[in-house]
Amino acid sequence: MLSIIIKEIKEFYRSPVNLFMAILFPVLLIFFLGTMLQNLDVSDWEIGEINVQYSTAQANEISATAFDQFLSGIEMVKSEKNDNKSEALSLTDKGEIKAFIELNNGEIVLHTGDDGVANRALVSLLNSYIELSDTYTKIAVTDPSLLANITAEDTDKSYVEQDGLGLNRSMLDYYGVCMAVMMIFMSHIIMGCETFKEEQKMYTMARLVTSPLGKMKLFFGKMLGLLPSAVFSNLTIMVLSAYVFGAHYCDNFGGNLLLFIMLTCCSMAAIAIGILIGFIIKVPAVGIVMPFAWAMLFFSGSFSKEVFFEGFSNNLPPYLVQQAAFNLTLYNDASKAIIVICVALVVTFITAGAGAAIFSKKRTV
Amino acid sequence: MIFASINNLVKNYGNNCAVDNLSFNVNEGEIFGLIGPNGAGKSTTINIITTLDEMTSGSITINGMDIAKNRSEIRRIIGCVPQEIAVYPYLTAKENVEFFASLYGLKGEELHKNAMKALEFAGLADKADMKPKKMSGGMKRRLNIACGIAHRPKLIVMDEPTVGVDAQSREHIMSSIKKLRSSGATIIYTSHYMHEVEEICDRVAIIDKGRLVAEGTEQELITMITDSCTVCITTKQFDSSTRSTVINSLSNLPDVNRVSFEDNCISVDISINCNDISHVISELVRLEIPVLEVNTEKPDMDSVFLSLTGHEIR
Repeated sequence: MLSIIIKEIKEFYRSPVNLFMAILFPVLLIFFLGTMLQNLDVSDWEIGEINVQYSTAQANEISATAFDQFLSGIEMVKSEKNDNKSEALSLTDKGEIKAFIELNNGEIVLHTGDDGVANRALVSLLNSYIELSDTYTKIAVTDPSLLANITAEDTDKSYVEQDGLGLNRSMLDYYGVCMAVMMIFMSHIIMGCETFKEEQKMYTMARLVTSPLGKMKLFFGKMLGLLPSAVFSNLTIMVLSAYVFGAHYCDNFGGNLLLFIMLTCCSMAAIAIGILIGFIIKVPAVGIVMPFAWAMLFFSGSFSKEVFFEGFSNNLPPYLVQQAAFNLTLYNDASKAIIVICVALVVTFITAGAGAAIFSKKRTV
Repeated sequence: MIFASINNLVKNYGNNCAVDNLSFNVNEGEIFGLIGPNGAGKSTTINIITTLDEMTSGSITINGMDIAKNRSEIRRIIGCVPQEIAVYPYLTAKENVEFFASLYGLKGEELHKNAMKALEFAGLADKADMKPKKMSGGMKRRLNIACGIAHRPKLIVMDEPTVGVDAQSREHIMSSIKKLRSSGATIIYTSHYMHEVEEICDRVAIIDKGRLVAEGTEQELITMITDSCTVCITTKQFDSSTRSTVINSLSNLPDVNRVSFEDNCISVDISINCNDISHVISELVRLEIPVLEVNTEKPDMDSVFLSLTGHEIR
């Protein structure tokens, strides 16, 4: 079985077509998409000024004063007091103001309008106000004397100081992940589809099948033989895009390792799926798999993040893998990556088992 | 001693019967020719013997092992040389041979030695590091053979191994096959070139439409289609009385079956088993008939093949 694995690796890396399609092409795509389309892909949303009306009629004086100060201190929010609730709601409804906020005793009620971005911004602002109030309340409950020590200097302090995220993110980072995913869902599936068909084309299949190796060892030898090539192409994409074009993945080694493991597991599943497809369809797999994979990747936002269809895109496998990768690279959130790894392993076992069963039952090759 | 025994072999593809109750034996250490027109069932038979395909019914025994029960063991002692060039274009000649030999469990130094011996045998030792895509057709054919024999199989199945090669490569391949026989291997050989079959095969089976038409040595097969060969003696033009004298005299000689005159040529059909025609020539000398030229038209495998399988294009 080891000799098959070595043979597969040698064959892969001695074929100029394979080298171009598996390594050079995706790396070039990262560069071209990442640099040329950077300006077309708008990554920030201009929220602009949010005009709101608010009422503190139901709140006590101290709370009302604090809330007045809070709203007036936010530059992007233009607030106006209005205790006429029905009038304010009517204005919100007409879109003349973005929202109407009611401060009652113990709760804040936000009546939102149609502007989703403004609504999300207001929710965030009000949540931070509640968190801040809770903090003061807790301090007051545990040790009120601490509040007496707060000086005017402290209250002027900005408690959130904006700093760099550690990495200077660019669209290269986005396409780095997307191209790695593209390789899995296109190149690695096609590799799987073609691996036994190539043996048939070269007439070497008869030699392999009539050897004492056995069909099971042959199947898994071929499957595992493709894996190093797939893994190396993933690694090459990550390394070249990072060190040649300056793309960023995770800001720590552990995260990058997990990302690499996730991509490896997905590649293995893609190869197993590809082999199964290759056994099922008789025509050249490229003609069927390639358009399907391109469409799936396109609607998953692999070529442009602006392409997204709620309820469709977010259920496509490439999107889910990309999402897990972005969660990992941007937020160091490994939960989705671990789920993807588990799913990929299950898919690999099921499809490889089915593929091996079909191959061993084949009466002729 | 029988090395491979094929008994009542049947292979059906749906309603189409590719091999119909075929039986023959291959002796140990012989080159056994399997010939037949296109679609006769040669490749199907070979595919079943090499365990590539499965039979519908019948039995095959190789080296005393039943193919149905000992597929893995039988595979170890068989080497296949397919009709198509079955090598990897991006591996070197040595890597190709080593890879296929490694499938038979060869490792390390033994693998390397066997691979180099197989390449030497195929006349490719100096091309060990060359990739097949840079090789000529003849070299690829020889590499194809090397890949099938590196693990030293006892039974080598060669399916038209000389298709599309030049005379030099063909000669090399022919002499290599004879060397394989000398080293003790048993060979099943198929070809459409009858002169190859005549040259190297000890025995031949002719199959047509999935059935065995004839089996035996070249001489036995020739005897099956005719009992005589024709000797054409070119002489001068004679009148009818001299012609009659010559015909009567020659017809009475032993081993002569029939005599006729065509222009200045005397056509004498003599027994196929007769290896000496000096008595015919002596009689002509006695009759003072000048002998200008003598040609013997002996039936060959082409005649046998066409006679047994017909002239219909397949």
